Amino acid sequence: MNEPDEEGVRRQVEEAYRRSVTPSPDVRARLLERIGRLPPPRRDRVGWARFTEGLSPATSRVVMAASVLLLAGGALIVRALGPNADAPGGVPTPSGDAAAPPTVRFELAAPGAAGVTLVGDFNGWDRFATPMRRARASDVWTVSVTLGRGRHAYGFVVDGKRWVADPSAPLATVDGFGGSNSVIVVDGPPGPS
Amino acid sequence: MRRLIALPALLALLGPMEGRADARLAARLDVATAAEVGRLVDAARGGGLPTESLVSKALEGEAKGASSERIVAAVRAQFAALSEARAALGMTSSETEIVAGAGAVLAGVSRDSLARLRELRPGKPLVVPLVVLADLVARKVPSGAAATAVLAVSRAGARDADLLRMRERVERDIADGMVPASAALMRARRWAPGLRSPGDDRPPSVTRRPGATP
Repeated sequence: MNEPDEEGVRRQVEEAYRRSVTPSPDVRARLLERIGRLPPPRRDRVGWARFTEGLSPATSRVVMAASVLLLAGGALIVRALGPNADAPGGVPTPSGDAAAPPTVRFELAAPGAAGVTLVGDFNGWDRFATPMRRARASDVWTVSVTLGRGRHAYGFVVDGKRWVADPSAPLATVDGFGGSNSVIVVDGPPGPS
Repeated sequence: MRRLIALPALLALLGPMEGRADARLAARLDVATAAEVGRLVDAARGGGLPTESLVSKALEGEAKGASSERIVAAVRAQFAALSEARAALGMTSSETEIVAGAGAVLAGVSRDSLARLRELRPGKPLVVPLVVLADLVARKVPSGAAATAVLAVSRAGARDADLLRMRERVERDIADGMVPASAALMRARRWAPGLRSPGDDRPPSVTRRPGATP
């Protein structure tokens, strides 16, 4: 019933769309200026180009180098987390118990010393990492540190320069530099054997 | 910007141990020494040897004011000792055992002594016997006598605590003026009464008079 009217409306709309509209000059200028301020269109980048988009070439190279390192590190981690990572030759070894590592107290009588530090493989042989404290009214210097299980070599440095072996250490070993180190075995003896 | 922050954070989280080891070497050693030690560390890693003791030895040398040559020599010696210790103790040995074994090798204990110790205590921890061995040698007990004593006591079924006690008594005897080898063998005889000194089982030597025909 309404079909003729609907057809008429459709034609009017089509004609309106086909009619060219010429904007006034100032409208056109404003439009062009606004378009000019818009950022350039994004190119459809993929992969690495998209990841580094917006970075300077130098920064991009740094990011690429870091990514290569990341991949290399990941490969090594996969290897390290693989089976028997701690066992030379890939043979499984029994692991120790999960007990917390013990705190070990070190002490040294050093009369007249101005400072004493504990230095060993557990602190990277850093002469400044583990300063000891002088007990009140005595020449005894002490420090307590938490050590992992196993064998540890160490010594004391008095006044920043004089290396002293631990006179109360139960064990000693040659150090390869013409002297000797004190040795402590943590959690040793490791149970009945 | 977030990418630039996230990437180093990821690297820090996932950073492998060797990266950190290299950083420690670079921070404490000159460039050439760090590079040479780094090469040894890489070679050790490639051979499945523990590497931390090599880095530690280099850092120890730096802390003690050793020259670059001495540091590299000490790390090389440690590398060789680790290889020898692992060969003697077997591939199933733990990293701690290999490092303790290297200490004994550097003290002068023979590879054969290490292998015999492993045979005597198969599947049991060897750290304490190895450390006691190295300790006795560091206290001037000849390596042969030290090995004979520790092997005899181990063969007799001594536990780690017994070995440590024996070592303590040897130290006391030496401090009291006893000859180190005699002190070690005397204390070991408490466990192995028939123990003879190293060399006792060699055939008697024949002294040839000049001019005598063999």
